[in-house]
Amino acid sequence: MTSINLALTAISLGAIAALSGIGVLVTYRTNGVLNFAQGGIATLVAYVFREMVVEWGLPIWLAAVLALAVLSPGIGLLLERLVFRPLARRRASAAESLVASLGVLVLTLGMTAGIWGLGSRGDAPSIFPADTVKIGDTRVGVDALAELAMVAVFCIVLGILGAKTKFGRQVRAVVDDRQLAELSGVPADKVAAAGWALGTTMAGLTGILLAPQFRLTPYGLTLLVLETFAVVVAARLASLPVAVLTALGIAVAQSELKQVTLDGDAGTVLTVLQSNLFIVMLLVLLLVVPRLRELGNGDSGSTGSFSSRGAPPSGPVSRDEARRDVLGKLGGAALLMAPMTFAPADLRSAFMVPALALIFLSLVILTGYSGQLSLGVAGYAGLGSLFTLKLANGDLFGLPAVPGIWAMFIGAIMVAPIGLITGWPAIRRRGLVLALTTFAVGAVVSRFVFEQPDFASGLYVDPLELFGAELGDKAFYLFELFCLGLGLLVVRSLHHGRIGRALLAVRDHSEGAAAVGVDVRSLKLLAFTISSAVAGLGGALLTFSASSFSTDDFAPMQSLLWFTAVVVFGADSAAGAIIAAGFIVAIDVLAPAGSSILAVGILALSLGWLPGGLASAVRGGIAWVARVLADEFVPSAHTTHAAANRLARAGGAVPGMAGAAGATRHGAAGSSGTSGSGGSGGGIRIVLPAGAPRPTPLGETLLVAVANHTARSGLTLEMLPSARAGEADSAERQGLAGPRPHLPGVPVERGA
Amino acid sequence: MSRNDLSARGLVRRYGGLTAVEDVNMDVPSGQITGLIGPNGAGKSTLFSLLTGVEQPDEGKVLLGQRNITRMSPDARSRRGLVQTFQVPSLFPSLTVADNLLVAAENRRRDYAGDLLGFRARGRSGALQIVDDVLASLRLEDIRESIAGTLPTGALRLVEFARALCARPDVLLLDEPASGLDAAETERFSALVRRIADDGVAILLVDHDVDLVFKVVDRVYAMVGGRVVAEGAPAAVRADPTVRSVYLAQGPLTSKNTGASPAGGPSGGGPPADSPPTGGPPAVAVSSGELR
Amino acid sequence: MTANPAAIGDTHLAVDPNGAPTAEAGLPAVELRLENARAGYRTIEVLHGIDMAIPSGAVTALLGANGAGKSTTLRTIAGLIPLRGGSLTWRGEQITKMTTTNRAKRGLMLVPDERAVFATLSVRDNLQIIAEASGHPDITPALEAFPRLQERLSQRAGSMSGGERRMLALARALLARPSVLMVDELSLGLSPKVASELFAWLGTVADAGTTVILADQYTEEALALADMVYVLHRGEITFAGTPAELGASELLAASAS
Repeated sequence: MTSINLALTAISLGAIAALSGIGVLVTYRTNGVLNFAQGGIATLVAYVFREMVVEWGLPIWLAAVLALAVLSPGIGLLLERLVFRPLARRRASAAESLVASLGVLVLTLGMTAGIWGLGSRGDAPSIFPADTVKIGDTRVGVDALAELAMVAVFCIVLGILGAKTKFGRQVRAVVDDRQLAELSGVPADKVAAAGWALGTTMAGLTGILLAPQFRLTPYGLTLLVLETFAVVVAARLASLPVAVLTALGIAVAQSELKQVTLDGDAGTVLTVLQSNLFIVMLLVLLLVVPRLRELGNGDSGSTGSFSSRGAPPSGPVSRDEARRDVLGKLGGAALLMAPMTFAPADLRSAFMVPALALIFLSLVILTGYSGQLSLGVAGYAGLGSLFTLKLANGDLFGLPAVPGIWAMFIGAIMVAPIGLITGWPAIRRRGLVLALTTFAVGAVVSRFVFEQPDFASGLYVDPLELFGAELGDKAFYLFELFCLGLGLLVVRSLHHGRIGRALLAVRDHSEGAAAVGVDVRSLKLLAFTISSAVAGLGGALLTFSASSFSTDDFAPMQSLLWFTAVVVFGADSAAGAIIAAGFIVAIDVLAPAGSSILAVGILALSLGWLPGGLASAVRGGIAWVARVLADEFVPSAHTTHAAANRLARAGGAVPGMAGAAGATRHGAAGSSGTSGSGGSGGGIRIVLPAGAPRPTPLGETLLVAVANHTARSGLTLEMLPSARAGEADSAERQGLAGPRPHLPGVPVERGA
Repeated sequence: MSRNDLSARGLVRRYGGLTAVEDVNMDVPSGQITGLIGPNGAGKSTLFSLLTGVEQPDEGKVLLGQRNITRMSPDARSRRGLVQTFQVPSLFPSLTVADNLLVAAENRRRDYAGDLLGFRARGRSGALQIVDDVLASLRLEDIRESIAGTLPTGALRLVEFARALCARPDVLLLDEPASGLDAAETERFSALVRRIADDGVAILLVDHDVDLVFKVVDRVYAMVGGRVVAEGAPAAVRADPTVRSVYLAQGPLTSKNTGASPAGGPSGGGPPADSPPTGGPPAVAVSSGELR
Repeated sequence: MTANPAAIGDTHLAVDPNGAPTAEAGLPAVELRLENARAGYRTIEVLHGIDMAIPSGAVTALLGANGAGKSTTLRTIAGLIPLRGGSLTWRGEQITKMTTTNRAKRGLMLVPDERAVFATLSVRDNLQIIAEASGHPDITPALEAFPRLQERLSQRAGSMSGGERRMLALARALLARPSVLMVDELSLGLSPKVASELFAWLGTVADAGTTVILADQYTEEALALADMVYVLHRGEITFAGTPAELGASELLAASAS
């Protein structure tokens, strides 16, 4: 084939990539969300389209109208209303929107996989006839020409819409500052919804056009769309024409590469390049393009909003707290030991838990503690696994075979320098760019290493041996727990003391941290290095628990799923990481395949309402219950007014109404609804409203315990000021303030 | 020249065709409070970034004592004693006040590896001592264990200032420290700054609150259009005709722009960014009925 | 389009929309009223039930220390913060539940203390957007009021100096032809000269018949302009009256924390 022939065959792919890029750009420019779900939505729509045509026998035009004019924009409107509007309302950072879009991606994947299974289908219908047209002496498909025409039309229409019209201006206003747009009388919600509908329609179109060209699989098609992010990066998130030209350029270049043949290793690399130029260009562009034209004021790196806990206490800890802490840890350890009592098959299922937990811990280090987004963790985990197996097989750079256990640790340590190098771009990058860069690294590693027979075939997993004895199932599980323990120790030393504080400082405000001497650069690299080693160890364990190396375990999409799971369960919580691992494994064992993805997706969408993930929602819930109990029954320093007011309403005499907390605390005995419970709490008494049923002795003990807790651990409860107390507080102050001076409503004369 | 003095020599910073800072020389001697004033857009913020290391100058150098620190990163400068505060308080919202301060007190050395391996006891008590001393001297003990993200603006400023002190600065660069403070807080704050300077710290104060600047500083630089147009004792700078015309309000509201502008145009640099043409009709004018 | 029913200097025959006569002839009526308003952020309540009546066509100043609730009051009136209790009435209509966009369309215009212009948009687009939203797509009135903006029309608003951005924010508000103009911290970050120019401009706006509400730390300037003063302290109103009635003690309370 000639170069021209090759170029013409590439037009179709280039045009579809351009359409996909336009869709991502539209969503970004109208809503400030880099929509990772683009691929998931494209896949879902493609599957529904196929279902309508192949299974229901609808005519293609009707199916296309339903898919593109009803389903796709409907998805966009739904997403805007349910997921992204709440986020925009509370001015969530770009990082949070990114996680929400990952949640949508995971959810759509889960739905597709749940309904149609993970198998591939080759019968996706095309909306264009299979005819060809002769241009010069080459035949070009009608579809390619039609797609090219669509690209041109979209480019021109969107360009005019954006630059010249009132709607375009409103869009730019809403995405710049939604609140100010509303203050200016711009209907921000409608504008945002329109942007979403347009973006998801483009996604659906991409999916329908791509499906007939490849075999339809949930993961494959999604990843294909994600690779077109290269186009978006080249456009620096802004320019439509650049996006289109890049898309066509990469497609043509990829096609032209087929003319070249090389021998040896270079030939292998070339072969991979011939089908993976988009993902390689994504990485290259991210490293080369100086700056994306990100929207907003550059705070998109802030992950503080989904990992908000501070440092562990630096001062002495009370004995009770220490005891509770130890009890909690013992409880957790007991739960982790529970699989030891399981039936052998179930125990084997549980093998995955510590391995996944280690991988999740590496994300806690990176995202939760040092505030850096990472969407490439599967790459590190896979490398750790690969190094370990190669070492154990005596196949790595001519090194002698190493016993499995030691190979595992050495393999993990060998991942660390790779983490250091790939962390380098993170020094100056954050937010969206860092997220995309880490994703590209993971994907490139997957394509060039894991999927290459040279590296990843012929690996066999021998059972581990320790001191000559083969590890049985129980012993292997124990060994996994030992590794998890090591990981927890690393996490602990990174979270406590000077390093812990410095890392959190970098996460919370890196300029502020630099201003007081924190070496931001070294700390970011340190986090990347250690995190990659931990992920490597987790990856090795994952392979050993499955007894085989599988490329799919470390596919780029896994990184996205894992990252989402970690954020959902509390990005800054080591316990959350372990619970997340247990959750995913348990659901996968108990429910049909794909259910865990669905569950994580649903949880991720709730981030709009639960900032901080499940972990902080649970923490907040406990504190809230404690506060309500305290408010209801216990007069302490900050609930005096509430209790006193209630007593006053109940008709009892209230001593010391004007304030002294002590007076109420000790002296309310005279009022009607008091039930003294004596000295257990240093004079704390339980005051019940008149007419309330008397508590049982157990109830009373419980109330006193809560009262004691409230009085002592003032911090957490004071931090969540009691709405009830505030209300009563102000009501009382009004009463004490006497007649209001000069009530408003009085006419005023304007001074000359 | 003392070991702790900060000085700028011939600093130039251009953005494309625009020269934001043009050949600025400046001395911030230890034990003194130096002020920097200028209308919006005069180049104060850019100069400030050049001194802190957030930006690099196109020409000229920054000296700390005799040492050339022009190419040093902000954190390296901070470890050498050049500490800044921000226009928008930059606390670590998830940490307690004490931990915020501790971060500053314990980061003059970098060896994180030692900490990682568990040798973290060293120097810890010293850092805690500094934190306690600073908290006590600023009377912030009450909020020691409060989470920084929950504090009101006034307290945020004070805590950020305390955090800067915990880094044991030789030079303190304060960017609009009084904005957002109310009258009483500002009063307390200026007394505090004076106390710090008396301990031998060199202080540079950039603020819009001219009353604060002129009341508290020993020496003032006035910038217009990227250049220093006047420098010297507060009284002298206040009397300077250029400064008066472009920066200071010239009297009560009613008499504004009624020829109170002194003779003599700007003595250097381009036209001031924010000053309306003097003597002419008001730059902002609305005729009755335009706004209904 | 919203029009003030009466201009200063005319004879006012204003009747409270609720039916109660609140104004004598020659005095402005009250069209905007907060009753027992409570509002706050997340778990913290900032306004503990305040009553406020804003005289039309006059300048009302909200004074108080940091955290007293001035900004919260303005943001509540603009609809950025929902009321947790009490009510907000505008021209006899309950607007407690109305969206921010619709309040803006009815002429309640807030110029917030920060982020008051679209930083990534050109000055022209900044003006155009609000002009179009208010139904009068002509931006010349703003350029006549602030001639300086004329030469910056194609510049990005974010690249302008703080003073110019403030001017642009006010110019935008002017184009919306508001009935009530609320300005939060007019003087924040401005040199005194620019601040007093903008204060003077606000005076002319009020003279032209617009209701102006100011929340400012710059007590003196605000007082010089105000016809009505509310002093807030920790979310409660501690004084309401004319500047002349405002005693030294309240003044001190207003400025001290």
